[in-house]
Amino acid sequence: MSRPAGAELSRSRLGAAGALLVLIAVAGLPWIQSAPNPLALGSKLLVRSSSLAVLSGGWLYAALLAAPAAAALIVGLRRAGAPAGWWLWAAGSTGLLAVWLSSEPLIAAGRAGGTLANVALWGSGVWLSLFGYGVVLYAGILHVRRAARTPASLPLVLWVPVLFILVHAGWLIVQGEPAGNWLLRVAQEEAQSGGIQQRIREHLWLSAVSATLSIAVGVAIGIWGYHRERVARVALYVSGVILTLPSLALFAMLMEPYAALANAYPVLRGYGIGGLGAAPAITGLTLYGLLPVIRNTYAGLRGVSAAQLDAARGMGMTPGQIMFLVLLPHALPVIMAGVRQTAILLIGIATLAQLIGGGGLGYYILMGINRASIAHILIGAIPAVLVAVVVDFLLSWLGRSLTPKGLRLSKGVSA
Amino acid sequence: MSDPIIVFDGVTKQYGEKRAVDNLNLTIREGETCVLIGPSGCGKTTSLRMINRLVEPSSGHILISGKPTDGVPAEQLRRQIGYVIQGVGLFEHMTVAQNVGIVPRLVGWPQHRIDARVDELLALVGLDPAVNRNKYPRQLSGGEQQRVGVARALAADPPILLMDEPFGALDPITRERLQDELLRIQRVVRKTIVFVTHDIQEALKLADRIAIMRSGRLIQYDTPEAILWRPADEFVREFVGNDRVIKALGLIPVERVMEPASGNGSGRPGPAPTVATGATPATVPATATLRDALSAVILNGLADTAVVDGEGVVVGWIRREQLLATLAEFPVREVAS
Repeated sequence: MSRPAGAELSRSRLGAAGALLVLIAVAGLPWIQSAPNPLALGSKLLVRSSSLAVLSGGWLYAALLAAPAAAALIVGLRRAGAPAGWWLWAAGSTGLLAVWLSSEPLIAAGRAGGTLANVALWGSGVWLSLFGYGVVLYAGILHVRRAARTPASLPLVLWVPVLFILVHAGWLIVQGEPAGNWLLRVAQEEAQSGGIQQRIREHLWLSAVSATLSIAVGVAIGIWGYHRERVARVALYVSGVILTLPSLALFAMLMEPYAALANAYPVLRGYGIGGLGAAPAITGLTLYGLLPVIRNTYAGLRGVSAAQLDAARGMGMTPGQIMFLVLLPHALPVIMAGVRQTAILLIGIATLAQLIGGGGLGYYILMGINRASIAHILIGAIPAVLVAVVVDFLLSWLGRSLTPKGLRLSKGVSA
Repeated sequence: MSDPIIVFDGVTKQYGEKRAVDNLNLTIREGETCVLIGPSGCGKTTSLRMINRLVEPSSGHILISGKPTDGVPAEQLRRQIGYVIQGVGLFEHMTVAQNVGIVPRLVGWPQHRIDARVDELLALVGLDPAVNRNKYPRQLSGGEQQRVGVARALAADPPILLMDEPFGALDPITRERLQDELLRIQRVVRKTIVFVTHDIQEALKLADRIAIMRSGRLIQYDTPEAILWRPADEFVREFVGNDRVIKALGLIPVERVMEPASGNGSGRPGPAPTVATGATPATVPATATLRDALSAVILNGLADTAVVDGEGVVVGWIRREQLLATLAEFPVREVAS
C-alpha cells in the first residue's frame, strides 16, 4: 500500500473501543452457561476457567482469543495511515472467526468430557467478543478508506469475514447441529417447522405490496403537486403528519373502518379483508411510505432548470413529451432515492403489522417479548435487518444504473 | 425587397393593469435579421415569445406567411420555428447528438436522416461532429453549449429562428466570436431571424433592421444606419448613445472613401506620409470600416493612409480631402422630424 501524499495519520478510537470490549469479555464475562436442564439455574463458566477441564490450559485459550484484540488496541491508539487500517481489519477478522468457530467445538468437547451439563449455551462473553471484533473490523475498513484512495468495490470485499459467518450460520441452521448457540437452535426449530420461512415471505409480501402502492400513489401525487403548488404543500404536510403518528395508533385507527366495511359487505371477508389481518396493515404501511416518494418526486421535478423547460416548450414538445422526455428522466435519480428510503422504512415498520394480525417477522418479536425470549426477538429482528440491507443494496445499485450518464458527470468538466 | 414573413397586426399583451406590449404593428421580411431592442421591460421578449405562442396575445394577430399563428396547434407551430434562449436549456441527460436531433425526432424523421443532419449541423456551427457528438452538455463550455443550442434550433430546417438574448451570458470575447459565427451561418442558411438583445453594439452588428421598443411600444423600426443617422426621437438618440455618428461609421465599408491604387501598384501620387516619429505609418485592411479608417488617419496625423489587402499589398489610398468631403455628405440629423 503506498500512501498518497497528504493522507492524514489518525488514531482509530473506534477500533480501540472494540478491542477493549473484547478484552473485557474474555477476562470477565461468562463464556459458557451450563445447566442440567433448560429450567435449572446453571453455572457460568469463564473462558479461562480451569473447570473447562478439556482445556488444561484455559488461560492459554483465553490469551489466544484476546491476542488480536490486544494487537488492535495498540494499533488503534497510535497515529497511523492506511497500513494501520489493514492491521485492524486483520485483527478483527482473525478474532471474529476464532471466536465464532471455536465456541461450538469447545462446548462439544466439554460435554464429551463430562465437565459441561447437557444444556450448555454460549454466554454473554462470546456474543460481546463477536460484537467487539466486528467493531474492530469495521473500524479497520473505515481507516483504510479514510487514509488511502481505494476502489469503491474494496469495502464490499472486506466484509467477507462477516459474510462468511452469516453463511455459516445459515448452513448450521439448515444442515448442522448448533449445540451451544442458542440463537441458532431456536432458529433451527422454527426453520424446521417452516415457520420462519413463512414469516419472511409474509414480511416481504407486506412490505413489497405496500411499497409498490406508496410509490405508485406517491409519484402520481408528486407529479400533480409539481403542476399545482397547493397540492404539493397539502400533500407534503399531510404525509409528514402521517409519519409522525405512532404506528400502533395508525394501525388501530384503520382496524375500525375495515371492520365496518367487512360487516357491511361480508363478501369481502372471503378476500381476507377485515378489521384484523393484512388489509389494514398494508393500508397503514402504504400511508407511511408516501412522504419520501412524494417529497423526492416533487423535488426532483422542481430541480429541472427553467431554461430546459422553456427550451422544451419552445421546441414544440407536448406536456406529455416534456414530462416523459425531459422531467422524469432528469428527476429519476432523486425519485429513486425516495423509493429506497420508502422501501427501507416499510421493511422496518412491517415488523409491527403483527400487532393487528398482519403477520410478518413481527410475529417472532412479539412472541419473544411475551415469553421473555431474546432468541425469538432476534430471529424476528435479524432477518428483518438482513432483508433491509439487501434491499437497500439492490435499490442503490438500481438507482445508480438508472441515472442517465449525462447527469452523473459533475458540472463544469470540460473535456 | 423580399416578402413579409412575420406580421404583427395590432398585437397587445396585457398583464393585469400593465400593457407589456401595446398595439404592436411590425413586418419582418423573409431572410432578414430583425433585432428587437430596448431597455428592460420594454416588451421585446414578450413580443418574441408571442411569435411561437409561448405567450398568447391579448388582442391582435400575428401572421406567419400570411396565416394567423392561432390557426394551428401551438406545438405544431413551434416545431416549425427554431428557438434559442440565453440559458441555452440543453437537456442535460441527453448527448449533444440527441439534443440536436430532438425536433426531427418529434416530427418523426428516420434515424439515419437525423444522424446525418446532426453531423451536418455540428460542422456548420463549428463543432467537430466526431469529437462532440457523444458528449454531454456538462462537458461543454458555455460557448460550445450555445453553438449546440443554435444547431438544435436549426435541426428541422425551420424558416424562422427566434433568438432570445442568446449570447447574453457569455464573456465578451466568446460573445463576439459567436456573433461572427452567426453572421457566417446566416450567410449559409438565409433564415428569417428575430433576435432580442439589450446590447446596441450587438444589434448594430447583426441586424438588417432594428426595432427599438419602449414601454411596450414600437418607437422606431429601420436599418441600423438609418437609426444612427436619424433617430426618431430623444429616447432613441439617447439609447443609441452620443457617439452614434462614430458607431454609424463602423457600418460603412472603407471602399466608400478609398481611392483605388493605380494599375501598376507602384504609383504613389501625392506626398508620402509625414510622420514625425519616423515610425511605420498605420494602414487599414480592405475589409475594415470607415471607423477603423478614421482611426488610422488620425494616427497618421491626417496624412494619406494606405489600404492594404490580406497580404499587405496596397490596394488603395484614403485622402484627407476625399474623407472630409464624404463625411460632410452624410445625412446626419439631430432628431428626425
